[in-house]
Amino acid sequence: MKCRSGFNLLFVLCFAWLLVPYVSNAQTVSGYNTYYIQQTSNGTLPDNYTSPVSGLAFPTSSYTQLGAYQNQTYNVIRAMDLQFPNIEFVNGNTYTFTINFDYGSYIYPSWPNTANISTSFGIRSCPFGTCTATMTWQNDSSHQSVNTLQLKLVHKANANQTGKTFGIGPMTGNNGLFYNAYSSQQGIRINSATVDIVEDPNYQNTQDIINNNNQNTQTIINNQNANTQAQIESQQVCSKIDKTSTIQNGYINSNGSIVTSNSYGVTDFIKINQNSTIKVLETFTSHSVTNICFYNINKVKISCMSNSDITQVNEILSIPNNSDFVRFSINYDVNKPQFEICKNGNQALNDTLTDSSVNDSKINSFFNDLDFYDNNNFSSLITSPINFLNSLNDTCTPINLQLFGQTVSLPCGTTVFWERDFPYISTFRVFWNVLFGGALIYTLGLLLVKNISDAIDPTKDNIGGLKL
Amino acid sequence: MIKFLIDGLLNLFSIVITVVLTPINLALNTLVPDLTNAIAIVNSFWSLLETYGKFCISYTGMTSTTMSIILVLIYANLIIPWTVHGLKLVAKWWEVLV
Repeated sequence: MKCRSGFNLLFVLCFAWLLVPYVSNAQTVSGYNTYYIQQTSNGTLPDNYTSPVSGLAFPTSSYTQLGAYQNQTYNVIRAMDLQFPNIEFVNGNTYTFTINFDYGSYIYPSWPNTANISTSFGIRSCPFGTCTATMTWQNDSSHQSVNTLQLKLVHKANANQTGKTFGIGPMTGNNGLFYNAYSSQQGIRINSATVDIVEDPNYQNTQDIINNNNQNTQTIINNQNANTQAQIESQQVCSKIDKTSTIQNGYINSNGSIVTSNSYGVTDFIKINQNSTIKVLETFTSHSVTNICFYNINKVKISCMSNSDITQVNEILSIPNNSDFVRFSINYDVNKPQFEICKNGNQALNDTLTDSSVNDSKINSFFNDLDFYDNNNFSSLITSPINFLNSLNDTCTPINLQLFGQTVSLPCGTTVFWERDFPYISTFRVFWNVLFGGALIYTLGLLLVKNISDAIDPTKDNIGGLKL
Repeated sequence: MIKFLIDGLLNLFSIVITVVLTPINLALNTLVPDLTNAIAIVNSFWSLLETYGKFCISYTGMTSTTMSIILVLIYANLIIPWTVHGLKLVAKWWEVLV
């Protein structure tokens, strides 16, 4: 019995191992990715500050002389290579960079190896705040790096500044220019810097873009869509839900609040995402029985919250991971338990779980998304013995051994005896195969018959030495 | 009607598989250690057998035809019982789940 249970568990584990990728990838996250390279609170960056992303470092407490101004030119204060190891800039894709400075400055973002700062994207004036640059990656001989962006901080010198040295260091003046002990030396201090990159993941496949016959037109259209969508995503619009038709014995008014009658009410599934918020607008008495349950895409319940979990007005309820839908069950007595669901952008337009919104792609083709990966080369435990069996019928090759510094070659049996020019050797080989090989084949045949008999016998569920 | 029934059945099966395998999935991801070296040693052993196996076979005088028949019987002895018993086990599993 123990053996049977153990083997069942082993079989389940093996089967589970195959389905690990399927389960792991059950939820596909789509949308626009924002990469936060570094975000600091207001204040001065510490000395020897090093960004988690290599290349972003701003000395702030000591002055570093960089050069002398040239009149009416954009003098490069600092050039930094920002490396994004998790991003591969793709040809034709559009990326939006947002760089925030505490103090006014000029920022010149460019791809690497773009020496001339007056070309390409030009100078971006960034007075006191956010500088945004939208750039399209162009894959040519001068853009070899695929995950690096170069930022150049520049300052346009006027006539009075011509000839003076400039640098970066502590600032006591205004507008990003400092005047201190180094009064003749001007520079720019950066208190904090944030670089956001918004990219459209639909364009990460370069081959798709290449295969697109209307590449340029489509790219422009989709870039516009991407920008629009990115704006919607970033606006954090709190849209309201009107579920009047889908709540039983109750309703949600036009403000998005759920109002129930004196009876038990259950809402339909309301679609949510991880960026949604569910806020308690009004608490309720102990007579109320309220449950808020969260479900995944397959309507499998993730978790529920009850009265005791919801006690405060304006409390923001946390949405469990892997939740796609929420459902309310309300039975109030005196006070009206009210909730507000806020979502981002236009995602509230389709907020009802219908049969068509159930993800059945895996049902139609169960193994479509099965991304099989071979953990620790685990499959070789099966394939290696099979390869061994297959190799038994291969042509023999002599074995070379190293003995006492010399190579000793062991000839195969065919060379030594079976294929030599001995009298009657071929006839004897046929006789020997019939005698010896036939005995082996007969034994294996008997074993096969026994195995098949055991397999079709419903009363026997043992295999080999194991009892299933 | 039949389509809805089949879709619903498969949907139920998909949900049950997800629910049952999720903790197993988590356990596998967190508890299974790195077995690369251990498996590599096992593979080396089988590679060694491959080298010396056909060498030994050559001395037995078995022809390619005889060896082919023997190997086919060995494969049949491995595949047929495991397949039938695997199906039996899946049926048992299904019975427990549904």
